[in-house]
Amino acid sequence: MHHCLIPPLEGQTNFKAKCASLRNALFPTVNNLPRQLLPPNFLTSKLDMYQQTYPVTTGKVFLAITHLKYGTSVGPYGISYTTLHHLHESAPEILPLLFEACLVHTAHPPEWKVANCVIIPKPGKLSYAHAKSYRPISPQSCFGKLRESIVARRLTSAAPRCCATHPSQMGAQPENSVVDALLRTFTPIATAISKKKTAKNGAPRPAVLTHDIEGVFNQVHPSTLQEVMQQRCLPMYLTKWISAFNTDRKIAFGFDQQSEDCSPTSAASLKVPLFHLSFSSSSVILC
Amino acid sequence: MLEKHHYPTDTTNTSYVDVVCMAQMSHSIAEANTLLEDRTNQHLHRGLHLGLTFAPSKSELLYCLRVNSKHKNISLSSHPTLRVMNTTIIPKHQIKYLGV
Repeated sequence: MHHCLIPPLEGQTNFKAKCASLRNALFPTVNNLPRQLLPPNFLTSKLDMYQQTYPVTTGKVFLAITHLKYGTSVGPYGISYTTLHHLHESAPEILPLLFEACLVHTAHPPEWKVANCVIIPKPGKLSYAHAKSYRPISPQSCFGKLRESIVARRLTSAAPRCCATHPSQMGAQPENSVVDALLRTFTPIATAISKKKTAKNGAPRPAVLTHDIEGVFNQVHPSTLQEVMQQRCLPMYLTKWISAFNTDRKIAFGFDQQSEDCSPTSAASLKVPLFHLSFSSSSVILC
Repeated sequence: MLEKHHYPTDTTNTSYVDVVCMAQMSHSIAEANTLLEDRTNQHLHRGLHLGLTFAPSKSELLYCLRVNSKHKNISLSSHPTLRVMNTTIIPKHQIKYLGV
């Protein structure tokens, strides 16, 4: 629980009203809003992976466990990554069985969808009386996060093959980084302005325009995401599992030395690679 | 159908999760602005189906000029304007892109 007292938010002074302000601002409910269906064949795929499935092997779980970020918060149930590591070492058949069953039955247990959310003031804000001046941090079950990372790896692998991630997308790609993104943008510019000016071609005037996609993590409608994944012919079990993952998520705010009961929220806490791959693939706006 | 769209070689699109960067080579700033506006509108049009849009208040514009360019000393406000979603994007001497 955060120990600093949060000043009145959007004019609200009591704890419950502050929680409501935070929920509205940080996790807007897009799920209930009307949405436009994607036109048929709006997106295409290079490869039909719809029916493909792969078992969750001991090796894949071990790989995911070794790449976890140790020392992070343990979530509501107090089970750490270290505990999971020891569990997998001593009984390597349990986690693959569990995760395989989750995929086969396209289930994400409700206990893994609960997050306790603390808020941290964003540095440099002029006023902290608005909910958007705070960054939510939502520690979740380590079991759930391990499961997510395994699915994220599968999506990372499947998405480019289905044409679901554009080559210009550098985020959450295993072989790309911020440096690659910068080089891709600025190398042609540096080349252009270093060319000699000729009578025929005057001095080049390169311009760079950057845009942020508005509220990207909250704007993804789960049904749209599902449609996108289907049209991209991503494996059916992944599409269904992500649908289960996205629904019935709950969050409980904790600050001012108080904590609220869990309430439904949108799936804004999705892990970036998972989110990004499914979403940016959709995306069109990014390509 | 979307994959068939290609920009000319004097353009670059780079995305990093939710940040989209468009680089445009041209022979005048006015032309660059027009082309960037067109490209932005194409993105917005395609994003409509997904309920996605840009936050124009966070958009940034940079003109990359040679060190010895005569335009270096011209006030940025004197350049032709670039408008995105009815918002004028003011060019800057430096922008922050991907934390750099």
